[in-house]
Amino acid sequence: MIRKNPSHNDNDGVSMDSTVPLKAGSEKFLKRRAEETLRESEEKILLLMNSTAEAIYSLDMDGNCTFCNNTCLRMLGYKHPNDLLGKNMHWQIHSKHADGTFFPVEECLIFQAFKKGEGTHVVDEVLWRSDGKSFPAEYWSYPQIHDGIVTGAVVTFLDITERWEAEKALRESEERYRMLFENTGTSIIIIEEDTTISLANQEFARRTGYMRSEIEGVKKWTEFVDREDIELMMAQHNLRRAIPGDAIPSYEFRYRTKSGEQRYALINIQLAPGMKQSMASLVDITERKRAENELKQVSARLALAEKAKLDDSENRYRSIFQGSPDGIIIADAENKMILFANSAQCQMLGYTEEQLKTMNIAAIHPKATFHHALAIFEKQARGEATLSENIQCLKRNGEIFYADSNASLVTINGRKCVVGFFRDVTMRKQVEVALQESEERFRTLYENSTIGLYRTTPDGRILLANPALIKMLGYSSFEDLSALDLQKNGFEPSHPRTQFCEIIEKKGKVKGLESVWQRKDKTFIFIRESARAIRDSQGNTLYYDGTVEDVTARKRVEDMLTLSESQMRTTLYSIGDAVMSLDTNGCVLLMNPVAEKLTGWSESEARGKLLEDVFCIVNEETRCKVDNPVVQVLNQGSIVGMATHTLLISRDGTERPIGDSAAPIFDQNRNITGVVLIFRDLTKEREAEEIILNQLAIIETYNGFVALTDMKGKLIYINPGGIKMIGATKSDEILQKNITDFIDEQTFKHVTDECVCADTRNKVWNGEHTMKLIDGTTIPVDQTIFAIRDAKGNLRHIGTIITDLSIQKEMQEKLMFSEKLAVMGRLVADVAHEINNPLAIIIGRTQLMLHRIDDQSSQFKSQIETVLQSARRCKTILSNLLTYSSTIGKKEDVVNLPELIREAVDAVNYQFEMSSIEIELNCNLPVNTEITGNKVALLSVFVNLIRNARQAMPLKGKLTITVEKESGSQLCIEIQDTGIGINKEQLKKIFEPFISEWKGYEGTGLGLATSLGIIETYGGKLTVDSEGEGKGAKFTVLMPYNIKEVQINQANNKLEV
Amino acid sequence: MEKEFLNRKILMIDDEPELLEVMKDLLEEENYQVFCASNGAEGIQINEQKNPDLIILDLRMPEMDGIETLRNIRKSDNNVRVVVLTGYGCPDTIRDAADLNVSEYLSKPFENEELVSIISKALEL
Repeated sequence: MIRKNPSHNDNDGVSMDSTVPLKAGSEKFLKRRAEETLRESEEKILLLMNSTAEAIYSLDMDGNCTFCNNTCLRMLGYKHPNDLLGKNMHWQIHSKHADGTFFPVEECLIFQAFKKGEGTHVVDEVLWRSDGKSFPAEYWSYPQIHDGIVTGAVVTFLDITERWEAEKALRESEERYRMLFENTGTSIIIIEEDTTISLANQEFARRTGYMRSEIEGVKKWTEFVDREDIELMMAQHNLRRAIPGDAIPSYEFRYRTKSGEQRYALINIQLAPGMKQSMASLVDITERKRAENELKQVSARLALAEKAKLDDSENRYRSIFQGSPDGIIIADAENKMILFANSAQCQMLGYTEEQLKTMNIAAIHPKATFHHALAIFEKQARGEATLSENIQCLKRNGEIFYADSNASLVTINGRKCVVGFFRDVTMRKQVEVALQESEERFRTLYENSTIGLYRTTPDGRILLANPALIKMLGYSSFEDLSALDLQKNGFEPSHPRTQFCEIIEKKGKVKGLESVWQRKDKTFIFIRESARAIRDSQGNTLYYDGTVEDVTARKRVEDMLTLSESQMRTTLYSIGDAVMSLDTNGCVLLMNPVAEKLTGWSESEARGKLLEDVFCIVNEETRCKVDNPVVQVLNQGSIVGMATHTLLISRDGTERPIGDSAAPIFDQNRNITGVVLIFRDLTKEREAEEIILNQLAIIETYNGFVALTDMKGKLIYINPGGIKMIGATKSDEILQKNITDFIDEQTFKHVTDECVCADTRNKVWNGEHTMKLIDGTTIPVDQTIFAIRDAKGNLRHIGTIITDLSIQKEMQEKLMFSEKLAVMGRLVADVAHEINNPLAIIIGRTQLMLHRIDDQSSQFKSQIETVLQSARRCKTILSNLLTYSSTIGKKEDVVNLPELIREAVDAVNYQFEMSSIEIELNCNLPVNTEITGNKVALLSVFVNLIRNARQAMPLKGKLTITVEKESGSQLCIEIQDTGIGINKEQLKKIFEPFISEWKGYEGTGLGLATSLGIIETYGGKLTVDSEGEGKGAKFTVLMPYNIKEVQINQANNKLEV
Repeated sequence: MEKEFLNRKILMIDDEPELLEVMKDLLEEENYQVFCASNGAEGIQINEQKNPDLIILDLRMPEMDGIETLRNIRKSDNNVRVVVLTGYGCPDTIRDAADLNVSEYLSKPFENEELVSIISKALEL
């Protein structure tokens, strides 16, 4: 059975089925809530697991995969969890080292760790993908422990290829940079904004005569610069940082060595891209400067000795310039012909001096740049410029080299000449280019890496930090960050930097250290860093280069995972329903204590077992095995409710009725990854259900009106008694209506208002009202209205119970009426009796008068006879009135008929002589045959009938009284005489009242008309039959009867005794 | 004495003087010696004094009713014949009266012949 989610719409009239939710609603609700909570929790975990950037898989004790998230699948190159589920993960992804050699499982740290129940963290191994490729991975493994027993492990891993590559590139860049830095013959230094020299190479140390450790981070650049040039240097230094384009890239200046010697240097300086550091290369030009100075002195002397021989002077030049290490050319300022070149210059260019002397200076520059070279020459010739850097020169063999040239204007033999000093700077240029390139690469890496990169001094000053790191730590710029003292403020107090320093000083490097750093806004981030110490040739630590990754997100996921897991556990364990979690093979993964109790299996015993072994269910009636709901869930992929009437047989044989459902667990791709089975013990519900059903049966049988309405009076339920009372035939007719269609609206509104306002628990409103029926008529009712609240005390419904008072009212009215009649009856009797005496006087006196009057007074006699007749008529009227008055308003009795007949016979016997009459009473009825009626009245009827019969037989005769059953419900009493009989004419009139002419059967007793009236009053009939005068008559009374229980009759007899 | 002996004595107890008058006239014509009492107490007294042969007793009387009167009479005199006058014959009253040894019943109003015939019948017993 697929459980459908019943949608309850409160606005809709609930059908008669609403009795079902009444009894079973809470159970379904609880179960559904439990399912939802669990599914939510499971889904939350799955979502978390699948949204995390880290790959997660879990293992059972055999190392087989029991779960893997999407990231895990993606990283390992699999498509579906089934590719990994159940597989041994070590063989699948971890069986070879990075170099391809075999990696035995015994050495696997994951394996070792979870066998021991310990967590592990590995940073330098590789994992193998489905396509046979490997990637470097960092992984963590945590054991899963249930009830103190290790049941498996959860492994989280990261692809650290990017980090590896960044680290490698950084290392390479650094090494190359360092090689160039150290091995070029040029001095190189890095100057901070405050002019501190943060780095200096060995050449610089050699040139200045200091130890590198004495310079780096210690000395300021200004300490090296000659006092006379400091102003120039500082101006350039500041200008470069303010308006980088306006600063001179190179200039000559003087510096002092450790020993105090003053030397000349050509500095080539530029800012490191994006930073405030400048990188400077220095070329010592002291020798050249000296040569230049000497030349100037010589040429000054020559100018003085103008008359000296040219040859001599040429020889003098030769002797001066030949020894110079720099190349020297003297060229005519006008025609640009080379006049002289020293040997260093010749060697530099690959020509002999004689060859050079035939050449124009344009010939020693490559064609592409000789215009530029000539322009410089002309400037120099005009004395406008002296120094010119990086002039391209052309060797005889076609090679191009770079040279710095410095020119002076001299006059030799009256000719204006330019003396040029050349120094080959190819080496320096190459280093500079290489450095630039390296810098660029380094910088690109710095700028674009998502991983934070830094360089710090051992004491925690930050020398370099890339944008990723700056952003990671919440700073706006490097300047902002560089003010931070890592040692003091960079770390969360419980994760001090000393931990890092100890490791790096001891091992020279740190790998994958996790720590907590403090950001600028004082928040903390979880980081993982790797770093290495950079040391100089003496082994002194210069700085640390490192990479940093923000792992806060991962930590959060881990925390949430832990929290979610514990939440799920808490939910699972605190839930009132039994819950079992199963894998896709139908094997038990989890079960909560309730499930343990109901199945009789402990979680640790049941884990891994098939559901059928633990959860044994049979049909309550047939006792046949019920299909495992989990199979259905796995096949259908939908929620499955269990068949009704299911019995769970626990491990110890106890049987319990249960209700259950099973729901699939989906991953993000809607693949089923497991099943949750929820069930509950229904024993109590069954009992409660039975009670409810019994109660319902009472309500359904009760002939009063019982209804359930909402707060507005809309009918939700009405019992059959209510439907009948209202005059409807089906509940449908009524359920569309409002209860105020039937009962007083004001009263109902008053009740609902009170219910809403006050706590009306246990309060009922009761009173008499009228109820309007469907046909519009009204009946008097007793009406009880009360509030129905749920367990929480919230107002749910209004209950109404109505009892029909119309019969009761009718009875009351009848009673009152009969009381009135009784009073009237007594009054009539009293009046009649009072009249009896005067009437007796009239009759007695007139008869006496008639007796005494003589025949002469016959006129009077007939008149007096008229008086006598009138008095007799009054007597008859009174007699009937008295009899009738004795019946009216008197209560009906249950009368035993045979006894009544005997009594009547006895009564007649008292009054009349019956000795001449044979009486036969045929009464074969049981003694308990009873009729209903007023006993006195009925007795009068029979006394009257018997007396009439006796009077009809004045001499002798036979009276036969027969009592027998006429039909199923009628008794027949026949009174047969052998008297004077009745002729046909009289027979017709015999029951008419006041027949005064005929006196045959109309004696002094009760009139036949009155007798007929009494018999008819009690539902009977009185008839007469006679074959004619002298042939007797038969009076027949038909009366309905009932048979009284014999036992009660006996009891009555005893009481009478 | 003889005449007295021959004439049977009848005591009539009734609260209606006119009726007593009518019945006295009638019964004296029939040669009875008639005593009249207009209530129960008087009736009991006269019965003791005159020792009548028969009492005609009205059941329905104010103060002491006929049954009560008869009950008192029967305490000392169980021989006197009694004819009861009733309104209309009520069986319960009839039964009560029967227990007190009543000879005949007569409903009011009655025919003179009926009274005479019932008295002679009662006295014959």
